[in-house]
Amino acid sequence: MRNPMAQRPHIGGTPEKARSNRKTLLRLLPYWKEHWLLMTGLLLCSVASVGVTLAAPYLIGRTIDDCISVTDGISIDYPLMSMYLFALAVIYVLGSLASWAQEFGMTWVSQQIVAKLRRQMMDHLVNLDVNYYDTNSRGDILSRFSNDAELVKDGMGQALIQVVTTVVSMIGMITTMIVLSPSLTGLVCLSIPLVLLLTRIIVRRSRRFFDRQQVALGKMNSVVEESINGLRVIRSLGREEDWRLSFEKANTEMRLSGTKAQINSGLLMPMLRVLDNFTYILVAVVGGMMALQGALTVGTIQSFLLYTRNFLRPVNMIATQMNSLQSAFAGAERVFDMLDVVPKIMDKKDAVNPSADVKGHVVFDHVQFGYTPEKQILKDVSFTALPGQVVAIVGGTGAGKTTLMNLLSRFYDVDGGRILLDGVDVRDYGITYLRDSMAVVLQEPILFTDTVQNNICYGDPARHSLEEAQESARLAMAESFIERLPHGYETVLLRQGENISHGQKQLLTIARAIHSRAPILVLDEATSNIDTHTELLLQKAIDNLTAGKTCFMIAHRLSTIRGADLILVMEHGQIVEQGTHDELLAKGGVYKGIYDAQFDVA
Amino acid sequence: MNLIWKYLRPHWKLACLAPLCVLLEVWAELEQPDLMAVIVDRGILGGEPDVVTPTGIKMVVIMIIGVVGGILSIYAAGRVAYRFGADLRSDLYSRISRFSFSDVDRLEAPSLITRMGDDVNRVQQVIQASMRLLFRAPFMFVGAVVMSFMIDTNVSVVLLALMLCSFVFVIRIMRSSLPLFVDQQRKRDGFVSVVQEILVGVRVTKAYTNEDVESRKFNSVNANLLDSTIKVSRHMSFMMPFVSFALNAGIIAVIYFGAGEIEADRMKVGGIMATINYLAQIQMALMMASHVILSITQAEASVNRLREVLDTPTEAESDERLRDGSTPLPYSPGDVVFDNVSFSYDGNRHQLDGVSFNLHRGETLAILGETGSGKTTLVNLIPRYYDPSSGSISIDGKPLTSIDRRELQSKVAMVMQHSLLFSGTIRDNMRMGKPDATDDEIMAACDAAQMGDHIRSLADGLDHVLDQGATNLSGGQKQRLCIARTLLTRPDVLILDDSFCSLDLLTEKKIKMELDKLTMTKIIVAQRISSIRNANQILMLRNGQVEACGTHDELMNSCETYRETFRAQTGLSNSNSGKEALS
Repeated sequence: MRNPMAQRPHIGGTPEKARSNRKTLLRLLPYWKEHWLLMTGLLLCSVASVGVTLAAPYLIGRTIDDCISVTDGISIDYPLMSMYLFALAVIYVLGSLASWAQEFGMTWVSQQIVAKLRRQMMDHLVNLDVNYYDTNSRGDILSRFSNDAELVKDGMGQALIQVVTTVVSMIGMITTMIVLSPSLTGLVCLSIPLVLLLTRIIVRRSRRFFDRQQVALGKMNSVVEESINGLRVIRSLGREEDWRLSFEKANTEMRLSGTKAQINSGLLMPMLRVLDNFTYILVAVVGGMMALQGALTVGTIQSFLLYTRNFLRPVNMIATQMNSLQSAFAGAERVFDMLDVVPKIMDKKDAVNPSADVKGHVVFDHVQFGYTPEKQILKDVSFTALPGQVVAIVGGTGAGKTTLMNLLSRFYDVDGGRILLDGVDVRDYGITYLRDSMAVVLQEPILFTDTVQNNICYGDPARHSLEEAQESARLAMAESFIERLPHGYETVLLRQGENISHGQKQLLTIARAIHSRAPILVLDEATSNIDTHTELLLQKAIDNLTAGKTCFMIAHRLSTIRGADLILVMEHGQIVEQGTHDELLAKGGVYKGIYDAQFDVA
Repeated sequence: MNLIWKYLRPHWKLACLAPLCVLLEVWAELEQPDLMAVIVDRGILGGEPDVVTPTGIKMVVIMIIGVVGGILSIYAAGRVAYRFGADLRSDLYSRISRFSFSDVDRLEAPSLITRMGDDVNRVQQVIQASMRLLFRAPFMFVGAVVMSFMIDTNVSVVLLALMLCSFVFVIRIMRSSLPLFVDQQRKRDGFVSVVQEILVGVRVTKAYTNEDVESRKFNSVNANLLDSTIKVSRHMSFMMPFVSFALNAGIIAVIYFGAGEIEADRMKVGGIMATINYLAQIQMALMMASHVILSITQAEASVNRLREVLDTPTEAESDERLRDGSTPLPYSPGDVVFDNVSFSYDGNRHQLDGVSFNLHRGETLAILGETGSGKTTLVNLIPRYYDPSSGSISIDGKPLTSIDRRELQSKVAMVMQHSLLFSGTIRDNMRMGKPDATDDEIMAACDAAQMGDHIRSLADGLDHVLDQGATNLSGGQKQRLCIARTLLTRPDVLILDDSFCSLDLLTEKKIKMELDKLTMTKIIVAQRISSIRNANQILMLRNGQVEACGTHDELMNSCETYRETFRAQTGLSNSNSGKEALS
């Protein structure tokens, strides 16, 4: 006995098929193997509960036949009946226990398996290349964690056990029924192909509508999402009515296809009940006639009627549960696909992990790179940054500035040429050593849902005391605003730091970079969203910080990079000019053009 | 509940049809065991073989009636539920799209999207299920009890007692499981948001090699979710075995007590068989109803979230209240005047505090200030995205609250800090500014925004399709398209809220030169002094207050902060302008 809501056949859209069910199954097996003892027990339990569904109707029939005699007046054999009923009670108790153990046990196992799968997914995911995150959408990765894993859970738990018990009990039932009365069994079995055919027709018919509903739903969701997120723009352009109309269209389409899908799939249950009842009536009438001829006892009819009730329902259940298994395999396959992605950027076997910090001597030696082979982003980039130098990189969007920094921290590896850090190719260092040598401030200030203190200490979690956090905040000029927060350093930043301003977020990411005490600093357009007042403070902080460190800065504002030791001017993936501010101004080239634009001198 | 009635009422005929058909279905199902008893008792045991075939035919007819009832009720329930959902969604959407921005902020856009989707779906599903199953259970219960009482009183009393017992048990399990379900949902939300955050922050994590920190974070929410899920399934796993045991105990009781009744000749064998069948039917109905009740309780939270949206007044409704019912004045272009305007989002901290200025038609106003000084807040007040907490704003001498809001908003256009484009072609996006714009007009606007060359370089030009969120464009390109789109609307007042932040300096300068050719009133929020030097007025904001106001030269002479800012940005000292220092 299972949840009756789950027993109603669920028909959805076309289930996605796994490329290879066998392969996926083979990979799932080890997960079950871990719980093999329990699984064996559960299998026994399910055989036991099937046994009960078989034995009970038989026993009830026998009770009616053996204990109640109506031939010569009504007489009841009470001692025999008590025995039968006691046996029945024992069987029922055992059956309930078995089905409880099987249901809970199976759910438990499937939940453990999925939790383990998820753990493995995350352990694997965090070690994947940045490239994986850049090429797969967040929604896609997230749905592997939630939807696909849920599918595996449902399939592994409910569907699997249901298919197994159904098959076992059908075999058992047919056997028992044949023993009781071969001709009535034949009658019952006649309806099996009908049930299958009917299920097939209805499922296929409604699947078309479910697929259509899915499309309509997707369309409606994207209209809702875009228009609510873009409400300001829509309203400022006065386009509310257009959007409302396209929403209404999607809404109506969704209602129509949804109603059709529901009504079509809703036909299945009553239609099956027709067959169910029809078989029931047939058994009653034919059985009754046979009983009249003395070929059958009343008890056997009762047993048969109970079998018929239990027999036909599972037939269509199998069809729908197979869909569930199918989706589980498809889900498992997507999970395994992710687990199979091999990170390209890994430590070499003989990776160098010096005990001392790097000095910060960085050389780009004829570096070439493209995110895809077709499109080269960097074409032959060469420059040298000496320890302690401040290198400023300027250029338009798409010139390749950010790419430069991605390569330095080995988020990506070069396609050609090499990058040397203290004379050693960056690919020869241990990744942890290399990245720990650098502090990065990204274009978008990204913070975590955690306290201010923990966010600052994220730069180096080993040093996490309040004093140490305060010191870093002070250097990043973030101290005064943090102290004005409701709970100071204990303030928990909400989703992506929505309770503080953009500039304040940036200050915190800078504090985090400072906290890491890395000898190399990478600032990617970090200052472009900070107001002038804060930037003045920040400039001082960066001046202090960069002393003795190699610092790469990508910025639009020239005032912040005037003091740089080396300015790289990038255009279309190449360094077109390099030198100091004065040198480049004197040269009168690209840099001079940008500089003039800044000061409105044309 | 009111909400549900309100949306069901228009479809009341169909809504009533469903339970009526269910009644038919239940009746048909209840008749079957009774007729079965006739076959057994009279046909087989009573020696009247002639009743078997006609009774069988009767059973088939009744069954067909029942099936027709079942199909009709499914049809009615499905139709009503989907109409209900569509009406509700349609109302929600049209309300949300007319909400004031402070209400949108308060309710939060992602949450509004979830309400339109998941919450409506949940309520709709529950309505569909309960129209059938919720009625089925009581009908079945009452019917089966009546039928079995008609067969035999004593057995039925025992039966009723057992049923009530398991009914109480099911309700208790349901009720105590509710907090567990709530907890599970909370854990699931937590799980998703942690994964999301890990995905968003992956670069930072990798840069600081904190992969293990994130793994640990994940493992703890994963374990929490597992824990809570297991608790739920442990709790729920008792229900089915118990209920099926109660059913089976009922069967034993029926046989045992039934035997006595047969002996006393108050009952026949067929009666026992019929009663056993009723038992099974009641149990099924009970189980289904209890699941519907569980989902109803779970859907209650959704109904409350929907009600919150429906109860929030739209802008027009609050405007009506503000104007005391008088008709709105037509908008006409004119001077923009701020008179002692203050504003606060939450009623505590003032984002704007006593701001006054007077901007003449056709002039350019520049606003400078730190992050959080109130620049964006100030410009948001002009098209009435928000209303000031105190003070007044007027255009052409008319207070903003008296002007027709839609007309105002169509004439005061703003380019926001964050560029937002819609999925569709570039042309579709541009036409949002002006629905009947020709390609030439669009290209002219794009040229002004320095985007024309890029569009011409695309193979499909204006037909180039943008993804949702325009992820296939760079930040600077998106910003330029947004500027072009706003230029197409030909507004009287153009507001640029830090709209150049993703552009390189040369592009920014070219766009500025194009804008200078236009005669409309311009309000420019900026970070760099270089981009707004020529403005008629420059307003320095600090902590929501006007620190200084004047032209570039005036401010260079009178305002220390301005001078300092200028120095910091240009790196030039002791000079009045960059021009002199450079020459």
